[in-house]
Amino acid sequence: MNAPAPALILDAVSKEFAQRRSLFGRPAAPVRAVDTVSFVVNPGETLGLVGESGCGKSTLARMILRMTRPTTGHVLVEGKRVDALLPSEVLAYRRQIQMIFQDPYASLNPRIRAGDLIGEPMAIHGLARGAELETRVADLAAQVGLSAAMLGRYPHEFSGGQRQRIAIARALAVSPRIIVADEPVSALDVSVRAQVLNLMADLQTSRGLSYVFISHDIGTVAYLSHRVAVMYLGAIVEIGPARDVLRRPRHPYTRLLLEAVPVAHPRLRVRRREVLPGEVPNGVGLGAGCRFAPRCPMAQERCRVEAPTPRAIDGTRLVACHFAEDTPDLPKGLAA
Amino acid sequence: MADVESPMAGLLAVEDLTVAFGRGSSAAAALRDVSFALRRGETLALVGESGSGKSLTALSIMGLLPTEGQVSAGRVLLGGDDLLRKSRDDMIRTRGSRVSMVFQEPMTSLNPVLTIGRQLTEGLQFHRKVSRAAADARALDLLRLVGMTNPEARLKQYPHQLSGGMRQRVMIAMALACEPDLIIADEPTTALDVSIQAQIIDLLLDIKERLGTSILLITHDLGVVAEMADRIAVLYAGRVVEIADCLQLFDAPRHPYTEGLLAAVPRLDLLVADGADRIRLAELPGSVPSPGERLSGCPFAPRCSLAIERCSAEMPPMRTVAEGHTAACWVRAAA
Amino acid sequence: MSTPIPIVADTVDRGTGIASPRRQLLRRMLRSRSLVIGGSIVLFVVLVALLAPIIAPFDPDHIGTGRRLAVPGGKFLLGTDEFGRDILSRVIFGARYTLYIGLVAVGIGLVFGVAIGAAAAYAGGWFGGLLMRVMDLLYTFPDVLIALGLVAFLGPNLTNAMIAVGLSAIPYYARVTYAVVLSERQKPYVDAAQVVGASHIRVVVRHLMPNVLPPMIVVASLGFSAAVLSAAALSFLGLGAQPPMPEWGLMLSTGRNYITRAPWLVVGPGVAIFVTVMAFNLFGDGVRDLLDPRQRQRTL
Repeated sequence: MNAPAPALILDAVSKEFAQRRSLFGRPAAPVRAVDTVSFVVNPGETLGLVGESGCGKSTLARMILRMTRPTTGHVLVEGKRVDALLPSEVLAYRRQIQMIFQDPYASLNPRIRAGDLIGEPMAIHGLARGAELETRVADLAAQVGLSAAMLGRYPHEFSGGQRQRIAIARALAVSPRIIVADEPVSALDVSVRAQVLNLMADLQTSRGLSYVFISHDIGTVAYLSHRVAVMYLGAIVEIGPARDVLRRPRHPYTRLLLEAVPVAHPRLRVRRREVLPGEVPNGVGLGAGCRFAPRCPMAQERCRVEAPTPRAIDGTRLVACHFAEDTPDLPKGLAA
Repeated sequence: MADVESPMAGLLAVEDLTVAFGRGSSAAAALRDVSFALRRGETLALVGESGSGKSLTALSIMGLLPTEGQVSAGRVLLGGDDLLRKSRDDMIRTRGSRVSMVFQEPMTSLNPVLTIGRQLTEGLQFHRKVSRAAADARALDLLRLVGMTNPEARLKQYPHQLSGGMRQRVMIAMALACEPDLIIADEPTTALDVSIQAQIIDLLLDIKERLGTSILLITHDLGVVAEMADRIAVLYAGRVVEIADCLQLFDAPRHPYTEGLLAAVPRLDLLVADGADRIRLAELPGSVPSPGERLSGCPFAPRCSLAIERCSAEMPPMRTVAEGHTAACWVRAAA
Repeated sequence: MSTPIPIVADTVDRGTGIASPRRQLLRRMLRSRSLVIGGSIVLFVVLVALLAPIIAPFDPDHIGTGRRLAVPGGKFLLGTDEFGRDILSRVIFGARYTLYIGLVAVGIGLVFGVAIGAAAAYAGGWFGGLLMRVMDLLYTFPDVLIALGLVAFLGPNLTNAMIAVGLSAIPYYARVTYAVVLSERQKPYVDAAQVVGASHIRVVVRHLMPNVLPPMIVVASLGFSAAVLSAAALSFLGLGAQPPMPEWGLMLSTGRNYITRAPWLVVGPGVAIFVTVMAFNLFGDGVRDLLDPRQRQRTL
């Protein structure tokens, strides 16, 4: 690929959290919420981040947004190390990257009018003021499908879908290159989700945005993503082109996760499918071996003693599994 | 007008259920003329979005409506008895023994200060008047039935010591304790991760098969419906707009809302198919109306691309469009 | 007021065809009985205080307006005190001192308390922890005890009493603010403001404060009555207002000596304190009900 320089690079990013110790207890080993995560996001591309709760996807988002700093590793945007930005440089960084939050009911300040919410980023960054600010706010609102007449209202006067449009307009106000979207549609009604997803797709095309799209819902990830990264317990276990990963997963976790996704049509029902056993452990005291080994139906002796390093499979993707080639295909019907 | 199937194998029949909030001129109907029937051993899914009235329907059946709401018309027949006419004491005896409920949020629905064993045996001792020892033995059986690992130890644990999936299993065990005819499952997997959701779906399917329990499944998630339902009733803004067998509904929906809903969900199987280059999702315009908005005609008319003049003036009745398939639409289900 | 308004009509949720927020607020205010009653009495007390020179029948400080210890009735509605001063006039002028004390004391408590609590909650870490532990320590002493100590140190007069009552209430306001800010700052809109580039000051002033202050209004109106009581107690003990000020607590204190012969000396100021304190409590309760999100967002 003779692609242009990536919009976002994560280079072996890890984040550890110190565990609170009890009054007289021994200090516990820190928890690795994110463990050596590396990927790139190209301009105009969507990287989907899939994983179950506690897999570290939200911590990852916070590190990309520089709301928290990695313990080790680097986040690079436009070749600059985000984790090493001086406080004075952070403001400028906020013009390059923005975020859309999960719950539009909680992420919009209830006491600020929609128009002011959309205009605030431009005011903070000194991009516009007075009458010009107003025109630009109305212009942005129109781009996300809100009428200028609604801008005087408070967030609670809008429906969930409209609120998420306000949040999108606010994120677009500084014309960022990258948007991190953390479960942007999961709090919305099913019939409204498509509107927001289509809007995000359109904006990507018209503005050349890069998305990091975080979701537990694999269907929405599949819709918007060009590439997909699957996370388990803080690490990426498989990353590659969306279609390849979702159609022919090579990591056993990806495969079991896809098998667990409810079918889209009753005709595709498979009784007694292979269910991912057990539940995600809490990440404390990971042993030496593969983090997925305790739940993996394919696990062998080697998996328990030696952690797999990500390696290229099929030329297009990276899989962290010793036996990726042996992972069985999805049952017919589940994925096309 | 209620298009209720023959009550022969019927277990539950809800007829013209109307629930209003508030009083007098400012009363707003949250449910209007909701009718459906549930056969013995069947799983019926009530599908709807926020404000559709699906949870309210469940609460009406259980006799647990909030005080501001009242049933202003209709009947809820469980094996012939009208639950709405029952006294409070009768209803307390019915809940948990003949009908029980599984809630969405297993953490808040379990009492945090009582052990799992205590919560499981409580209903048994109340409804079945069994001895403590017998109840304990039954609790153990129930935990095995719902696939809990190490059930003896679990009995002595508290809810916060269990994971989300385990808690939902306990909820299901509690619901099964008195061998009810009907379980109402209100968004039983919504709060869970995908892999745990699959486990719970399989568990519910398994229970239905082994015990023949009927399930009224309340959900907004069409995937869960596709996995579990035998029949589906689609609710929109407090009204039933379509009822059909599961396959029939997915294959040939007749109500424009059902059609729109099915088309609006990103389908993994189609998205990753060959040659598809980011298919645009079909959009339903607008948003779900709030319960306060009163509409004279079809509540879906403002969002419907097929709407004709009559739609906004008059609510279409449920009409049979095929065997076991009814829909309320002037355009798509015309006489 | 008795017409039940359905919760459904309160669903401000979907953004279409709903009464303007201002009208809704007014309607909810009128529905709250404690707010209406408490608010009216508060308003009455404020008017009495403002119009004291006009409505008071006599000069409150003039000795020998009537005969000493005259029984209530006739010319002197509430009787006269041991110097022949008209008690009604003194109670009316006393309202000025009471409101003044309340405002200053609550003002001091609120300004410092909110600043300390908000700083501790927003900064967090060891700094916030230390600040709040100090507040907790001060909180373990009864307010009046701290005020007593402060007055003993500053010298007994009304100004010092007000300052003392205000300062002694700081830990209380700080703790409440701390709790409110702590819960607000965890909400995603604060993260969202930071991502957009808002500075710490902007986050606190523009985003947090509008959400923190409304609940603080409740706390302040409840604190107002506490301050009035504390100040009256100090005056009663001779550490606040000094004679001949027509301050209610002081009037109680001097009237106490004649309680068997002339009980009306304590009835006037006593009832005035009681009614004022109750009014502010009712008012505070009413405001709290109004702002309670559970009251507001009850939907289907």
